[in-house]
Amino acid sequence: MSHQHHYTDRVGYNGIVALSPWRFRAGQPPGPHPFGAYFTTLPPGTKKLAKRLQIPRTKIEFAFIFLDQSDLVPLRGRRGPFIFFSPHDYEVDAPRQVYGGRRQP
Amino acid sequence: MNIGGIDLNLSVSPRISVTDVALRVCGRYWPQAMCEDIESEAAFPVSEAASKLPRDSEEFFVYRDADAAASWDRDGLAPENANTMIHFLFGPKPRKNADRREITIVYDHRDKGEMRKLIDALIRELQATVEDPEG
Repeated sequence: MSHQHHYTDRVGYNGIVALSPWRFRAGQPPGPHPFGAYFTTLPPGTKKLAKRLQIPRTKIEFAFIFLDQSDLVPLRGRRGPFIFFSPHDYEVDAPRQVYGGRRQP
Repeated sequence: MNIGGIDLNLSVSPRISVTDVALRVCGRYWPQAMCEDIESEAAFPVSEAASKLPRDSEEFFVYRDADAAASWDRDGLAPENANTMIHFLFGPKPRKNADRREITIVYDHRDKGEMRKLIDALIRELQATVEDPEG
């Protein structure tokens, strides 16, 4: 089974691990992307991770990894194979949780 | 995690040499442009792309100049490097009988003067149809 990843900074990390199940809050990304909670299949050791996601490096300091259950929507276009979103808050219960902590490239 | 960038999804003829056109247009607007494939260890001048960019590269970045490349390396997206990088995703080479090829260009703000001109030139010179401007 494949994995999904959610990268964030310390503040985001603390907010997500404070709850069980993990809850990833949907929001409006900068630019015209759909409202949602965003994830990627790119693992923590991916080269040029922040550039491929076009986010600050501070936002990839922490990682959540969980089992994919094929219910996330791929972004349209060529980033779709590695960027997915949920149009609403997304919960991951304990059996699907693989890792939550500092990103280990 | 919110993603950044605007994904411009284009459909182009498979006969267009998309890498060559992309590098030529970027080099015209950014004479000091730097380039790197997603697997490259470091960025190199676009003028050296013929020998350093893998011929079948499916995904690469072009920066306005060496300072922009260094800023992206150090900080990722940051206010001071806005509109200084374009991410090209071409996907696998199309099959022989394909009549179109879907590509994506990710950039920051098209509403700024230079970037708008650059993106418009890419669309024009790639002879592309805009499939989805707001991916």
